[in-house]
Amino acid sequence: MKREKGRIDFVIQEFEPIPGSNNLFRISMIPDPRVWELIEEDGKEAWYNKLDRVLIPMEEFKKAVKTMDGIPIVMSNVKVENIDDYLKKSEKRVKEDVS
Amino acid sequence: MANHGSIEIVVIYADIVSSTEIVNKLPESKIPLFYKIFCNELYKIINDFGGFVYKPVGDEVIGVFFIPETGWIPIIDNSIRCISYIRYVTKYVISPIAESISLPKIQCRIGADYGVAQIVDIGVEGIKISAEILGNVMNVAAKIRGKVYPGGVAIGQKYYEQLHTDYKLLCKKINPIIINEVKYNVYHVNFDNIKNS
Repeated sequence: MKREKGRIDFVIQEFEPIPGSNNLFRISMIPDPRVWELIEEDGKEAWYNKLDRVLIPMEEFKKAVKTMDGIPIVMSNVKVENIDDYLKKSEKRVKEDVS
Repeated sequence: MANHGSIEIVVIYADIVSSTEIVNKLPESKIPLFYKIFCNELYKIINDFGGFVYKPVGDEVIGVFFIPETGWIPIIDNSIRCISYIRYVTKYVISPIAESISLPKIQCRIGADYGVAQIVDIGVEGIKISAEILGNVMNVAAKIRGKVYPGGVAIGQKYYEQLHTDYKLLCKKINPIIINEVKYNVYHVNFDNIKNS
């Protein structure tokens, strides 16, 4: 099946400002190691997704990473409580609804 | 029929398990409350997560999340989190309150998928709804919902591919459905493995 839009979740290993620089920081990330594994395929490095059995040759991975240039870090403007607090809020709403 | 264009969406079909049988045994006076207690709260949950309720159809709530071309990942994440909250709220709030007012226990089942839909003015005379959301994704999500066991959640392959790893790890492939004579993968999402925040 053709994949129309792909997603690789990264885990941040390191995040630090670069001393003496203006607004520069260093960030190191790896594809989530729970599912991504760096392997060698036909003598070349590749990222292998153990869950979905998808292989991304390192060459392709490097091209994909470069497309991150210029993409904003997106924050959701939806703020929803954690589940315990939400259950309390919901209970109040439902009780009002049926009263 | 005017077409307003295509847009990517996540669509969620949620309904009450065995509602027809349950309603047949209920006194008429209690039937509206039985639907209201479920549908009203689901509308609010979906809205809280930035989605909107497309339309109510009996005991069924159809929630839609529009996916923008950029910044689509938070919307995907909100939609799956919304599904998990619907499940928890139904189990831990709606059903216990229903039983406390002598209504039957309520279990929901949820089917969801991601794909392209068309916003279309159907313009049927005498029908007030001016715009419809059409597309394979709507039919697929409804079909997936039909495969879900009581209290469960199932999603289609396209939605699965967009999920955060945390949620992908909760998914287990189940029997596929057939769409246009082609197998389409379906996954059960086991939210019992987490109590997410």
